Amino acid sequence: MKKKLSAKQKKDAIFIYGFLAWPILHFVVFWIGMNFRTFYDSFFDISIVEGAGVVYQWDNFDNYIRVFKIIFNKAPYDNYDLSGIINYRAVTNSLSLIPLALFINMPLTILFAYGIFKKVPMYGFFRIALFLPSLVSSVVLCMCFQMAIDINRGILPEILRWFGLTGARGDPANMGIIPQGGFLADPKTCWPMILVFSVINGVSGNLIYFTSTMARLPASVFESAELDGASSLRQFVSIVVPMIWPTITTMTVTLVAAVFTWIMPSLLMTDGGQWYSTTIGLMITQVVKNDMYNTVMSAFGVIVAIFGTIIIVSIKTGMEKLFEGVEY
Amino acid sequence: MKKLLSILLCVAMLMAVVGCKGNGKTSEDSSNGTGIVPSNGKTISVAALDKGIGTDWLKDLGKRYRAKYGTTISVKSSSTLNESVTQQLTSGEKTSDIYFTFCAPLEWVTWASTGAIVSLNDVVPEEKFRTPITYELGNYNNNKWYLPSFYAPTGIVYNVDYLNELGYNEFPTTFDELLTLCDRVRESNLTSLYTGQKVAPMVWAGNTGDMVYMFRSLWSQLDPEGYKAYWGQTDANGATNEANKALLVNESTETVLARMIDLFKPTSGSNGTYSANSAYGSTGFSNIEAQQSFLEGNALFTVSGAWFETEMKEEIQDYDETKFSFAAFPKIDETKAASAAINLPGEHFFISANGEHNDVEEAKNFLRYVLSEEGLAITHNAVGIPLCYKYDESNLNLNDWGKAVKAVNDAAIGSVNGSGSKLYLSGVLTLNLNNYFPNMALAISNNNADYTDPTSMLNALYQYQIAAWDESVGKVQ
Repeated sequence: MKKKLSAKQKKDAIFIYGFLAWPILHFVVFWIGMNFRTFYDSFFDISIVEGAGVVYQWDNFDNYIRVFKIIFNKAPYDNYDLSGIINYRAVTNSLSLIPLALFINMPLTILFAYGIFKKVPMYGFFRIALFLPSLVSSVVLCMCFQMAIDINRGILPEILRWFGLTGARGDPANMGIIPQGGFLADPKTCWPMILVFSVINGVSGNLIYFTSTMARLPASVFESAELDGASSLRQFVSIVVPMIWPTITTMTVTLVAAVFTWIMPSLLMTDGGQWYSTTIGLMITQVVKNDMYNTVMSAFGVIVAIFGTIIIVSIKTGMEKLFEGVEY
Repeated sequence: MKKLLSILLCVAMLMAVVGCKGNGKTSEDSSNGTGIVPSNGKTISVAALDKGIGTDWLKDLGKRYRAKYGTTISVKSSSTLNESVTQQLTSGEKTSDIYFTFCAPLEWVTWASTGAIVSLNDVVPEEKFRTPITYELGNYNNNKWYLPSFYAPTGIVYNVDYLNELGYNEFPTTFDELLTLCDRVRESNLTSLYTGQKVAPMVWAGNTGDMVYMFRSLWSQLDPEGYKAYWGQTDANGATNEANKALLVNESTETVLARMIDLFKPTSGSNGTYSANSAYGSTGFSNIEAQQSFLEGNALFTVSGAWFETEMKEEIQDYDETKFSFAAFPKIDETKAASAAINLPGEHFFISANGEHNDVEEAKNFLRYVLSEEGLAITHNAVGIPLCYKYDESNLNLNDWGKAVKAVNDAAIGSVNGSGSKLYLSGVLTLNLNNYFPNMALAISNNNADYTDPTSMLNALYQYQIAAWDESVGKVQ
């Protein structure tokens, strides 16, 4: 027999479903709807036909073929004077952020968090100084970095000049290790400098997660480790890392996922992206901004979603298998 | 008592609102031949791109229009309008009534096809346009969708004092003379008053490709018909057509690139190749940085356009010791007239079909005023840049910069990188040269092209163009 809801239960149901209605609608429109439309558009070519307006034409998998041509450097596909940002470097640059995040940013963040947890000298200062960049706008941070490496006014060229690694200011014949036009103008040094910026900037944001996770670790474990004569390094490797491994896994997944939407430093430091500093996110954003009917980018988005999911799930599964979760 | 006071206050406020009718003139007032009938307190909003030329001239015109015709013109300036205009016009929301911005051809063709903008056939008659190409731009499907604005020539901005110190009264008019001048600068002891650096012949924007103005100007100077033929091509199968290739890869374009390599003068140094005629950092400068370096006195000349004075007005005040003027690009072929690449398509006027005040006719009236004899003269006086229409330029009150720009415009043949052809509107013909010039300056060779060899560069450029041909050629049909 169907149970009749009481008045209170009906009120509760209305409240709960009403409360959830907006986020569900938001999810349906901005996730399901947008992704479905992206997938749908990726099989069409859109043109403007005189007298008929915007026309959709079935394109089979041609857009996907074009995407693979871009990825494997068989076609530049830049029709919007965007300085060639549609090219294979978008993929290689974006993918290079993954090892940077996993093997440099993450370890550095954990090490700094451990130092703060262990209350090294001046840990209070480090806790604030390392966290401050996450409070500052990324636009300001990019500008500061650009100014610091500017060949005419920056502090880095002055330091290099002091060490004799570059010539006098204004002497293009003797620039030493500084490329002509500056670090951000040379294809060989532009992306590495952006990676340096990413390392400097990347430590601050995630620091608080690790410091708060470490703060929850039981003190008794560390006390007994010290009684057994374990050094700080041994405690870090054998106790801290395994115990905070779930947090490390979560942050790793977040960092890797962010790689595919990473655009700001390239956009801000190279005035909209040069071909050597383009990324997947920047390329898609800039192209669609100029041509909202570009379906090649729709196909690109679908391919990135598929391969990105495979990469992220593989990393997550691999990391979960390394250490089992520790209950405490 | 309190109630009575409240009522009296409400009545007083109501009467104040009723009293604010605006100062609309009666219909007996003259429309000054523009055909505009004074309104009765209407409002029109204008979203204007605030870059380079700025928007003060437009706001001034708005105030004048209000004084004459009673309509309030509300100008909203934004330095990033070009990035958001597509979203605004296609969002379905109410938008500004008029837009003043630049955009890619494919963008406005899309807006026109989707009904986001209205046609402007009845705003300015064809005979009022300065040249046939200025009329042709903005046409699609037998309608006019935008009205161009400034007819800004590009050219050389040079330091008058440095030039005089080297014994010159005017900037060189031929390319060989320019190269000789560059040699003289390198051999001289000129140093910048502001930075103390040795003065280089030129400073340029390697990061934003401003040297493409020189390329276009020199190409159109050498081969004006060939230049027009390239931008006006209509063969949709051009990617496989050798005759089409010859429109880009030919003796004229090869000569231009060869001469530009001579100008850059790539030289081997102790730490690799550098450009002997370029100021420190040129290959990586944005246009603003290059212009600022010029104002700091680091170079004799820079490549820019008629907008230089307006764009750099604050920096000019900071570096007021630097006296500058404007000249046409020196000629390669001395038997022909000089040519100046015009910055067209630049910013244009559009009228939204979904304007917030729902008054397309009044929006058109404002544009009729802006592009009337009076409006054009006021604008030219204000910014020192000619406009794309015919008007009386003999009585203008221009400063030295404005006079120099006008002299270049009058003497040089203007060339425009655009046409009404569907290939051009599709975005196939973009001449993506931006990355070429830094590589030419440093004599780079790589898998794509040998930047010491003009033929190799042009072939690479052509390959780049046809690689994306099939994808784009059908975009506008």
